[in-house]
Amino acid sequence: MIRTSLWLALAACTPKPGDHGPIAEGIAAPLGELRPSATAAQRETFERGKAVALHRFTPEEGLGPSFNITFCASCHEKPTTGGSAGLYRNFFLAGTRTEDGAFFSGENDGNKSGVIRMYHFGPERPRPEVPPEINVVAHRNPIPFFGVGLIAELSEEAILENADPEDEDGDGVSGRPNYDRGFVGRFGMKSQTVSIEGFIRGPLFNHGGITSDPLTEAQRAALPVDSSAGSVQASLRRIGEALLGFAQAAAPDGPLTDADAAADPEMTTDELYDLVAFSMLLAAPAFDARTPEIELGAVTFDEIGCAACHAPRLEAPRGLIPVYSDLLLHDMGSELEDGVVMKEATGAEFRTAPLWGIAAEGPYLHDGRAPTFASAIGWHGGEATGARDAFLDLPPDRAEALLAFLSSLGGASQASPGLIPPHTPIAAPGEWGAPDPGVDPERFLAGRALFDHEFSFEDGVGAPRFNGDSCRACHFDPIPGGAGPADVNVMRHGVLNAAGAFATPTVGTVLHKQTRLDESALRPQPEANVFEHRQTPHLFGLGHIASIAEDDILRAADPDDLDGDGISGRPAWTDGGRLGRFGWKAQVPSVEEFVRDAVHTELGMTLPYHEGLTFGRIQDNDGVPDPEYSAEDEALLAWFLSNLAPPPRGTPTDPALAAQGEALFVTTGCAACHTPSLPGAAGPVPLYSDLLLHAVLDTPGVEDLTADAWELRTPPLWGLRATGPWLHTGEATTLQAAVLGHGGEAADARDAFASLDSAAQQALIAFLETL
Amino acid sequence: MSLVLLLLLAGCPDPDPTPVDPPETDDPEAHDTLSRPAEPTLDIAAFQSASTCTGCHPDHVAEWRTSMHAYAMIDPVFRTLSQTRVADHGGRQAQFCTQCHSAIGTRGGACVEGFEFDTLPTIVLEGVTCEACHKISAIDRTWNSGHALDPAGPMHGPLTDPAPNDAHASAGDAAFGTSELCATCHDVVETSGLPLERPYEEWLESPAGREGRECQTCHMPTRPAKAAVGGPDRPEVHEHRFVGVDLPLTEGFLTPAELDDLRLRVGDLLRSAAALMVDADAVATPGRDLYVTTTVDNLIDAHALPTGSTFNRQLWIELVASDARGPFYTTGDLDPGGDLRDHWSGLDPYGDADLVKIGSGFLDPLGAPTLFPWRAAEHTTAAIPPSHTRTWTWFVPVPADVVGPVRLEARLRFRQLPPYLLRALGLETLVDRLEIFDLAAASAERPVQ
Repeated sequence: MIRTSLWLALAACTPKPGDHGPIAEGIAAPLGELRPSATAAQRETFERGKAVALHRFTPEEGLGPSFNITFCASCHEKPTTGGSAGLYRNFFLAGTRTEDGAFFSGENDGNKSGVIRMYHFGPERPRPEVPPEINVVAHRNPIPFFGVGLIAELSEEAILENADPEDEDGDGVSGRPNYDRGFVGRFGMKSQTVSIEGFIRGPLFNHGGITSDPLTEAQRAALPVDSSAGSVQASLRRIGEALLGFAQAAAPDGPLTDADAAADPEMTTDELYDLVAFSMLLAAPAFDARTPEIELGAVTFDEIGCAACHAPRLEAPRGLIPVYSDLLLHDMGSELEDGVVMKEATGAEFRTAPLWGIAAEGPYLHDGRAPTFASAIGWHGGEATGARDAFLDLPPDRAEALLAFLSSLGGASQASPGLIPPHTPIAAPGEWGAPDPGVDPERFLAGRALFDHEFSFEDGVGAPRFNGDSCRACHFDPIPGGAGPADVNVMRHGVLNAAGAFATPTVGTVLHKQTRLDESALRPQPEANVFEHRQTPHLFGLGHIASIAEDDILRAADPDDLDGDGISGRPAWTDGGRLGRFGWKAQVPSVEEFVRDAVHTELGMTLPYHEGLTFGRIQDNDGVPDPEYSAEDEALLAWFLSNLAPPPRGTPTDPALAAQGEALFVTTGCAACHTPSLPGAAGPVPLYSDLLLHAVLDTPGVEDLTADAWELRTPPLWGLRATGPWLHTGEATTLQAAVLGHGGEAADARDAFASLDSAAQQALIAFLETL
Repeated sequence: MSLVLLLLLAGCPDPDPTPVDPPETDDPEAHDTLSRPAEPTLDIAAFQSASTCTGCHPDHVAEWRTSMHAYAMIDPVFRTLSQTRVADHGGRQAQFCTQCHSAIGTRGGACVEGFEFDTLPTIVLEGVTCEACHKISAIDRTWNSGHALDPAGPMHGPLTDPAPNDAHASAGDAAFGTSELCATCHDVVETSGLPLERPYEEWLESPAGREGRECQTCHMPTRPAKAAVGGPDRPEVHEHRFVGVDLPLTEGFLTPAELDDLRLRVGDLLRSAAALMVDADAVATPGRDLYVTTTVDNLIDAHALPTGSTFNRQLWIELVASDARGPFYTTGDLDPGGDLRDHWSGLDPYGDADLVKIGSGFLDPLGAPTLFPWRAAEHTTAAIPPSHTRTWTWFVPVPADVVGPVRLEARLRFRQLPPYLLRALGLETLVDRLEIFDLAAASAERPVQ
């Protein structure tokens, strides 16, 4: 009764006419594309800047010394470069609230932004110290960049027009600006930043340890949005055709430095210019055509009060731009409050999230907690309580119309449950990620989609900790199913006890990167004294490896080196006497167990019980009914991985050189462990591994079942060329470094390689590059 | 809310009563209206002591007196845990533990901020006494003392035809034959929402739960007897010993004979809970690892192994490998202080690198182990679900000079509480009273080649 009357009362509100009307010309395109009105010169800049966004930084180039990401598009990838990312790219933002209420951003490994960096190369300190005085830790999901150049062009007046800090109109919605050094803020979850340059230089350093210098005045003036000091002083200035100039103050506004071996700045100002220009030139998301249902949704959007904050249009120099945000701060209530104070913004205040493009930008809200529009709306509180309640009270057809309207605001045709674009065909034979011959294509597509599917907290991700929200989250180089860069390394740790024996910490050996939202970044267990990075290996050809008969692996085993060649090779026995084949320590015996291990350990999801399978967990305590991963999905994923074809062999640019290298591969001793081929059920499996354990480490790592602290499985080399970085830590960013990184019983082969002349070394590398 | 009350007061018929939301409390971590009220919701004096009941129900009361239900408010470990919780909360949350251990005292205003155990009324010290269950008039939720108590109402029980008597009115109540009744206390959720004890949740998903075999089927076996002195013969009268895995640690709570009897019953129960198998490579090779697997079957089809307060229980596998000269490999043995050589061992932390524990533990928000649920952000469990099996593999290093054959002895061992917990609570004097039960043992012998 009450609900009905409330609905009727709301229905009586009159929407503002023209709220969702025409927008400026030449600004909108599919997500990730160049603004249509851009010049030819800007198109070139755009492409250069995009290449910078996709460039993988190495430690040699200045990555680190501690980091969360290795490239910009690590976090800005969804649905394409410039966008957002899944839960697996969430990061921690920390600070200290003092007893008198003051708030200080947390310092972490010399970085004072509050961003906690989760990786640090080196065995002594895998995860940077999180200072004990930190008592506020918020989670942040990456924020998309589409259309930010248009937001940068907005005059301050256009934003301030919607401000009503004292709620003088009495609608329960206030809205106040944040200020960045005197300028009205517009970027970031709390509108804490005014400058795109600052919004790029800051995160590059905070998350990647990439230092940069500010752009020069000439560069700023040449940016697609004039950001020179001249524009700061001019309240009104003409740029091109009747554009309102805007003050682009930049923070950080001085050169950045860090303590790694790479010289600062680690990104040139030319690269930075291209990157900033690329961001500024990203088009506004193009909307879908209106249908009657979408029209009804738009009316509903206004009627229930969404438009009070999600302002459909802002007056920009080019005309009206459909941001669906007032870019102002609003109190969002206690459920969303994160305690992080940013300039004027309190812990409960957030910038109204722009809604353009959201169909393809989930998960939603500042911490990615909401997998769907409805869930995101349901989490609204504070000033948005009325609108939320009105949404929850909508009749089903109106609610569906509203969701259809939101979905029409750009990106719907690019949206996928993961990162693989809709309608992406199956890879052709001979390409990366193709199926084995004769595989049911429908089932293969379903399996690929499952591999790519991003799961949410509501699905049971995190138990309560996790590393990824999908399989693809870590396995994506060069395409889904592949390897992963250092920023998705799995951290492991352990305790070497007084007797020198390896003991598993109470939390297990995996030191997860992500936690549920009410938890802070996980520290290593205090007693832990051995740490190890584990690079994400590719998964192509797993089924072929699984088909190798046990005897054909055991035949090469020589644990006591009875043949005296300096190479032993131990079979890796796992639970129940099964021979291990997969994983850096050959700790997993089958594809089925690999799936179970990864779903539990990496996704934090529970699985159904199967007689005889011992990996994975069948229950956890995260409040989501177990099993969280269905038996059908488990079987589909195992089938998909079992039918993923081996990596395609590369064509050598210089066949003679590669042939010489192949011979050297044998004569230097590489092939003693990296057995070129083992017999499989469907013919030879050219994996370049004996699948045995060898003691190749010079410093002890983490034990795993039968594999001791110094042992690793000979990693298969097929697919090597496109699945770096290499070695189990991912520390080798070149194949040469990978060869030279061998130790233990591979030291002789390593030294044999090192003693080759450079032409011979190049030949061997040329061979490896064909794998 | 007030509107609903007004309607009820006005006498409107309410054929399908909607549960009335409890009024908001100022401090939901400290209080809830049903089981942890800020103000008393019932009169303690309205409840009868077990000593009154014994007149007509001597067998029931005699059995109950040996039970953990009778020990619930006496137990020094419980008392200290409760006091530690309160101290950690600056005097608040005095009612969290007592909401189940004495619902009568908690709802009657005896167990409130600042209460002391020693000065509580007798009926409160009786813990889960007769009327703590038999005055249950409704089940509102299946966790955290989720039942309604009505001291003025009839005595509730499973008999559908209770004999009229002068002592009390009686009412047959089908709820007394269901797991839901037990669940009101045997399912516990921390104020943070962290699940602590989940026997009922486990049961719901178990074969027994699906087949409708209730808690009482195993934990309150029946015999033909009279339900009350002078009453009719009944084909099924329930035992009220509530045998579980605990022995009271308080000297004198039971007579030595009663303790011996209970020890036998606990041992029988534990031995019925699990099977253990040990297997290994066909031959042991000097200087090599011998792959040894042990498999534990949870024979209980109604709840996990272990269950209940798994974070305080210890269930582990001891494996000893010996040759003709004696043991050369041991895991699951104890340090000189009687603790397993894991994180909590004061004398040999992490000294048992291969230790297999089948229980649960708490992690604080930073991922470090913690003893107490209210400090925990995570509850990790390795308990084996109902009717499930788990296998562990050990890689046992065989000495180069081994004198065969190699003999493997495995035991599945249980202890109700760990010594380190008693020490942490200042109850060192009770450590010597802890007993270890072996649920199962298995062995194997392998020739050396």
